Amino acid sequence: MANIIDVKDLEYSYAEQKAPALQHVSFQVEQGSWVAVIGHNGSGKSTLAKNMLGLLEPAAGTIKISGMELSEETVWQIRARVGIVFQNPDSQFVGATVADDVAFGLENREVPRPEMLERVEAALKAVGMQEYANREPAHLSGGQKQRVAIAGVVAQQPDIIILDEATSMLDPAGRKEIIALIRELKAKLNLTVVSITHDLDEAALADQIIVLDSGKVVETGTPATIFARGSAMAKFGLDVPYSERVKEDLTAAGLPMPNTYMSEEGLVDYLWTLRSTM
Amino acid sequence: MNKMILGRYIPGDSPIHRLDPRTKLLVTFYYIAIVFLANNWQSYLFVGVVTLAIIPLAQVSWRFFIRGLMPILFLIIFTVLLQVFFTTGGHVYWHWGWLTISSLGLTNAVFIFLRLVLIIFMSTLLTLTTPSLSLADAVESLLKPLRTVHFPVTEVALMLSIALRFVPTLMDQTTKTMNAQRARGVDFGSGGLIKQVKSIVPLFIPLFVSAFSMADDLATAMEARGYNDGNHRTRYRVLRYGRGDVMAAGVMAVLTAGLVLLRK
Repeated sequence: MANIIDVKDLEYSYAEQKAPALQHVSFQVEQGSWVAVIGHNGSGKSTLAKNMLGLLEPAAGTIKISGMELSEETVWQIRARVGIVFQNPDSQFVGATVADDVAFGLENREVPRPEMLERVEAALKAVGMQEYANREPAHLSGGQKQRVAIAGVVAQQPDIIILDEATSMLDPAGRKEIIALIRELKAKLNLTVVSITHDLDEAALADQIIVLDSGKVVETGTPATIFARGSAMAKFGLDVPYSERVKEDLTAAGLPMPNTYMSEEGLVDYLWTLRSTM
Repeated sequence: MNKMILGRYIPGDSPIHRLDPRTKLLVTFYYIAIVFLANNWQSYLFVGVVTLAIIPLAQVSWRFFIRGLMPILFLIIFTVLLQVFFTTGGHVYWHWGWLTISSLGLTNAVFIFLRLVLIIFMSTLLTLTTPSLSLADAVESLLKPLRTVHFPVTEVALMLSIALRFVPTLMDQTTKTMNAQRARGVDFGSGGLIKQVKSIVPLFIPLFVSAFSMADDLATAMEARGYNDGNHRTRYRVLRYGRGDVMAAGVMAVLTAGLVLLRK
């Protein structure tokens, strides 16, 4: 399949910092895939996301979205195709009510009102928030606000959704729900997902993982190959998921373990059936 | 604190709630203006009866209206006393130095009292039945003509609605910061004036910092969602006048006619 995102030699420096935030960052993302960008704090993950939307202007390099090169002329078209959900649920809620917030992006694109009403309703339904349409953000939980932010993206009918640590301020249950929702929406709407995350369980769901360290891409690969490197990941400040560490130790102890990624539940299921003869 | 600013609105689906917010705003202002036409018992009785007939339509407890009077109770009492003691004319009941209680003074005091109470009831009716967001919409719509003189109406309206939307968020932040500073030993609300003002500093600085960073994030999020300028946008929320609004205008016309006929 065609590459929907093509980033080449991207460089970016913040004015107040000496070290560049991004250096020679290149990667491609296939249409319809799920890519996770991981790295510790300050590795340049969020800077990358902001560059991809033209919110920051790269010092060098090119970004192509669906074959369109990001420039001053194309930035609004690209923003229409790429939706982003940020980290803090509170500081991205623009509208005074849930429905208003979902409509905000559509208002900006001058979508005619009758169509807007339909799209807002459909988007709220898609994230399971239709009953909350007239609620004010103060009466919503963090997870619900993130759902609304996702609905705002869905209403825009984009090709790509970027999650910029969208689940990092939520509790574990809220996190799971949001990830499940994104998976569902991805399948239904044929989205390409770029998830920038700390949460390795979230990254494990990706088709491809890009590891950033000090603004450079240090690893690219499937979750299985990345996590299989085990302790090598620790030097990038990343914790390998608990299940992977157990697996590594079990392999060292001589047990036959599959080399694909397993969630904790998957590992437990595997282990209790391993010696079963039934 | 939260209740003070936003808790005025009582959700409901009464004929008053359903009125267009522009109508409610205009009618309230108009009402405040024409109450001044009343200048005798008959006309005050008429306005009073009409007002007391309108209020139950909102299906909101009277309690809230009485509560609406509380904040300016002092002002009302002060004005009434001023009228009682300093207006002279008619029969004098009591006299001491330059203080007099006369029949005209008493009548005027009652009139002023009624006038203030009626005005407050009407404006309370407006705030109880209209969410602040709708009021912002109404202001925007009514200010639209100013666009011809290049006044940025849509931007101001967006600012207003964002400001309203962030009030509870900032309140939350204040509570959190206060608790965080209390945990570090800051003692709010005790000691002398200087000490109290000093204790506000460690509250306000973090609050300002977080408000600015939130504003920055919000601006980024708005830009990411395609916000360019206020003019090239369609509106999700539109206001439409309905039959109720015509009726409200009718009631105001009747009220005006009645007052003009009944006043001296």
